[in-house]
Amino acid sequence: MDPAAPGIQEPFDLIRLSLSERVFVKLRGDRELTGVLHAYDGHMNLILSEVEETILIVEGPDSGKANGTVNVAKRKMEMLFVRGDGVILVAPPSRT
Amino acid sequence: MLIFSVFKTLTDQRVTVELKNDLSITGTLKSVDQFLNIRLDGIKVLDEQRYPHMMAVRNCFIRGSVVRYVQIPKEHVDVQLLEDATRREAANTVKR
Amino acid sequence: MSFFGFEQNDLEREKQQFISGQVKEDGLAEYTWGEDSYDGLGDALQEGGDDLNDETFGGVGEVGKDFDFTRQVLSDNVPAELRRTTAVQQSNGFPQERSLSPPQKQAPSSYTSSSLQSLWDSKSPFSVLPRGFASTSRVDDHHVRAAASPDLLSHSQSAYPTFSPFADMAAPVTHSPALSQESIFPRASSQMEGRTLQEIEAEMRASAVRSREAPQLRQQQLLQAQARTPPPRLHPHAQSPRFHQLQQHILIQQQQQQKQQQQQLQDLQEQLRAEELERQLRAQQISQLQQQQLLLRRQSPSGPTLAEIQAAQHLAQLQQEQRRRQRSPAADQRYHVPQPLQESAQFLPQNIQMQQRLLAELAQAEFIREYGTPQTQEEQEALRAEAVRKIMEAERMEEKRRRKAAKIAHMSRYNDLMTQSDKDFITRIQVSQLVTQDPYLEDWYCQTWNQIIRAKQGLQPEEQRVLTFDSGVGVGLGIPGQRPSGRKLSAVQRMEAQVERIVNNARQREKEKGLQSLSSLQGALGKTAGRSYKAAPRQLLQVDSPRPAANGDHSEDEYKTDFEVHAAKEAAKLRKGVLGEMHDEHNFVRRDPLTHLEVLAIIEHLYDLVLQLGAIERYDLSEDVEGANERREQRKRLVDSLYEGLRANLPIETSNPHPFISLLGPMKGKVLFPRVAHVLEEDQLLIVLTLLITCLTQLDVVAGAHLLDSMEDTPERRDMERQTNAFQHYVLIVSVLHALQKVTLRELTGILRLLRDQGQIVTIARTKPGLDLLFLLLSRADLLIHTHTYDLGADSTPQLSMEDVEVWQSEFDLMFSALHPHLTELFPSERILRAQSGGSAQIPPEHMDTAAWQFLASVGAMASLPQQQMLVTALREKVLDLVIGVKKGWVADSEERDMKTKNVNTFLHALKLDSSQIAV
Repeated sequence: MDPAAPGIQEPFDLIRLSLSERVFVKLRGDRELTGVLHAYDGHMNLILSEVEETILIVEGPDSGKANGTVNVAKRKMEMLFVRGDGVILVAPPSRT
Repeated sequence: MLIFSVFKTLTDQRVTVELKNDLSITGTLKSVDQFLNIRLDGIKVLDEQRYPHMMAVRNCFIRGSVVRYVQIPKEHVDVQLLEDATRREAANTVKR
Repeated sequence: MSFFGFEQNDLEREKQQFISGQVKEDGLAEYTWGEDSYDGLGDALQEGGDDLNDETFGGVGEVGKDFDFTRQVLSDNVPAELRRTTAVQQSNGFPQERSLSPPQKQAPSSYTSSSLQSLWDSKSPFSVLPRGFASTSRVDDHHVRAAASPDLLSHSQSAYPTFSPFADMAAPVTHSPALSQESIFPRASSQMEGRTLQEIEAEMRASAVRSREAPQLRQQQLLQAQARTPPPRLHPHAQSPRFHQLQQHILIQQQQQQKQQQQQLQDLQEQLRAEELERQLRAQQISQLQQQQLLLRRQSPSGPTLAEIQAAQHLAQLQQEQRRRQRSPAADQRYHVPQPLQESAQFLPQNIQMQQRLLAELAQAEFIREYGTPQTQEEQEALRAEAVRKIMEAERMEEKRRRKAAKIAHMSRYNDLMTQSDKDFITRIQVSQLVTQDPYLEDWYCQTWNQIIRAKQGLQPEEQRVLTFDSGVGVGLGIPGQRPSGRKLSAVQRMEAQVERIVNNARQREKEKGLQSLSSLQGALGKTAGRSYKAAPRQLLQVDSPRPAANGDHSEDEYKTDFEVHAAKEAAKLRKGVLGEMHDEHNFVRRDPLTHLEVLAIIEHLYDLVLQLGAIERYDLSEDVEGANERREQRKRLVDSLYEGLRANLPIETSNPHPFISLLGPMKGKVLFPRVAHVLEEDQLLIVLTLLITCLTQLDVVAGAHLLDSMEDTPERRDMERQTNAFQHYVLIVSVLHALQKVTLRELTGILRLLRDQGQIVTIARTKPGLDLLFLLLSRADLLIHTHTYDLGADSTPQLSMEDVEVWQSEFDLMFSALHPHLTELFPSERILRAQSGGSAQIPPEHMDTAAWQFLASVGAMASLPQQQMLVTALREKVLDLVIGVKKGWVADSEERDMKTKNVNTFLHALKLDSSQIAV
């Protein structure tokens, strides 16, 4: 057995490594998810469980300016299908 | 096809479809196709005040591409089976 | 007859006379042919070639009065196309066109020469062939010509299949829009016996009109034909400049001649029209005058005044004038065209419209003539109205038919573009995209899911409902019976069942021992306070113990040492199995622990192997099936590589944590473990199990168990809880329990010894996984001992010697004494409460302690009486706390209350006690 990670040939192999592990997903529209990855496909459609969604809502004058306040909305969902066209990145959560 | 397969097992279950325009519709999943277009029955819009025009609507057909999330009932997903299915598909796409 | 003005001696007459035999022999000079005066030219005359005379002069049949002068000489089976072109040539009065055509057009067969034109038009030789109704053959042509006149299209189509003698006459002008109009009246007349001169005249006039239009079309066609590049294979010379020159020359000539002809024809037509108009006007005038007179007569019985008559005449004149103006092509053409036809009429070129009108008038006139001169004014009016109505109707019908034909032609444009085999081919492609080699690959999840659901509901799996789903649920489902949503439940249930069994066993034992021992503990909870925990147990031990230790106190230590040796031996043996020879040779390489990424990659690789195994197991592995041997071999290879992949055979010191332990780190590793354990060989499994126990403290769930001793809801704690639950479920219950069922008591003793040897049994017991594992070991040992004791003979398990039991017991004693001082620490709630400072203490939920109570119950069941006493003493306060709390109603939550009662009773039942015995 080669100790080096075998069979990593393409980006999707890296996602596969995170199957049934907790992942961090960045989405369009200032949304972020963490959840346990149970399924993915070639379109980056995902099925996650124990999901926590974080939505960044920038408010204030001319949203995007520095003085605009950033509100964070969070919510939890048991199991969630995420459509792949909104996915920006899938990553393992930062390990401490 | 994996996700399509999963949704097929969820027919007749209550799901919540969140669209990209933030409209959330809860309803009974009646059918789904390979584009993940979804047909819902007995629908209820989450924020009825914001979408009063949806109050009279009983069922709807949702084009797959406008979906952001679908919240699915956890108890109707076999996580291990799902992960296996994902691995099988991943292994097969690599082979191809 | 004179020739060059000379008298010819009337030779002709004399010759006639000679022939007729009226020759006067006398007085007349005899002329003999071939002598002086005859020049002999007569001999040079050719008298042959008469065989076609009949055809040429139409002398075939009897020439009657109704001989059709306009009739085609060509026979009926000549293609319409050809007939049209020849007809056009004839009506043009331009028959020499053919001789002027390029040489290849003069081919002996007139078919080729004229159908060449059609070939050019439609580009395809097949298009000349007649093809059903509204065939697509002339589509091309239609489109081009439709631009000039929308109704041509339908005519050229309809002309061919209906070939009445009359249509025959119409054939030369198939592109004339007036066909149907024309065919209404004259057809009616042609059915009568013979035709009048007038009719023939009318026809000729009509054809003259048509031919006036025809040259223009002809010209157009020619131009079009020229514009197109003729297909090279048909016209080898077509590309040559000479050919083009010639063609242009012909065209110019044609145009000039056509112009001349048109001029003549127009003049003629004008004349004709004028005549016709005059006639009509006269009739009209008369009728108008008659009407006026009638009116006048009615109004003034005295008869019309002169002024009135003058006025009437003036009116008539004006009308006449007006009419004349209207007759001119430039005049308002809508005058005569009936209202509904106006729209379509506007699309028609002027001359066509005019022609239509003219023909209509002709027909009207004819009609009137046919029915004789109308006697009364009403009759006349009625007739005229009738005629107009008929015309309108005809035109409407014609319009309708034309539209329909156009529509059909449009729709059938692409008819037969694809053959049936093309369609079949496409169907095949479509189907082939749906069918895959493995129909379960695409829809595997759904198929398997349904299979499971059906199995759960106790239904038979559907018979081959999708192409080929062979038997297997098996793949990737782990152990059969481990079904999705039921999993969690079954885990708890199995735990409970285990406890229940222990308790029952204990009870049964007690019964056999007699009431005495039972009573010895009665009131223990309530009244043990004054007793020394040392004194009583010893007595009981000495009285009731079935052990050989009863022989004497002095020998106890001896035995113990013996047992110790036994246990140590067993442990060493196990460890040796784990470490293998590599340990002895010291040739292992010390490595860094696997990185997280490596671990994940290895696990995924193992998953691949497991899935492959599952695919193989779907087949029948029994002997008689073909290929079974290969599959068995393949399976063996896969299992071996799985075992290799677990890295369980690497020396313990390889790294910390050991690679195998690292693999159990991530969730998916834990999930994978039972599936691997399920397929491993027995000895492989034992080694894996030993390794797990040896390195237990390296496990993430043991090393990080302290995270759970907290009430704070941190992500880390949550994650640890998740991992712990997964470990408990997947590793301990599903795998270890499974593995332990094949383990002997001796081996169990060795395992316990291994745990104790680490010197961390207290640490381990303070973690949930540790407690669970110890509980499993104890309950398994209990089961082994007692099934052996009570089911002598009928037992299939390996023989259990007394010695083994004693060795186990001593090992248990050692464990007990090690844990005894820390009994309360086994409860997470106690640990939490101790860690919390002051009064803001939160009471930890009872379910945290369940594992501890379960373990203590198994200890209690296994323990000797003195040990039981020690247990009770140590835990008395804890038990009383719970029972009083529940009974006094201090615990508000009913669920929590139930949980507390249940936990306490789990423990007390093992000691043959019950919480209800406790008086508060």
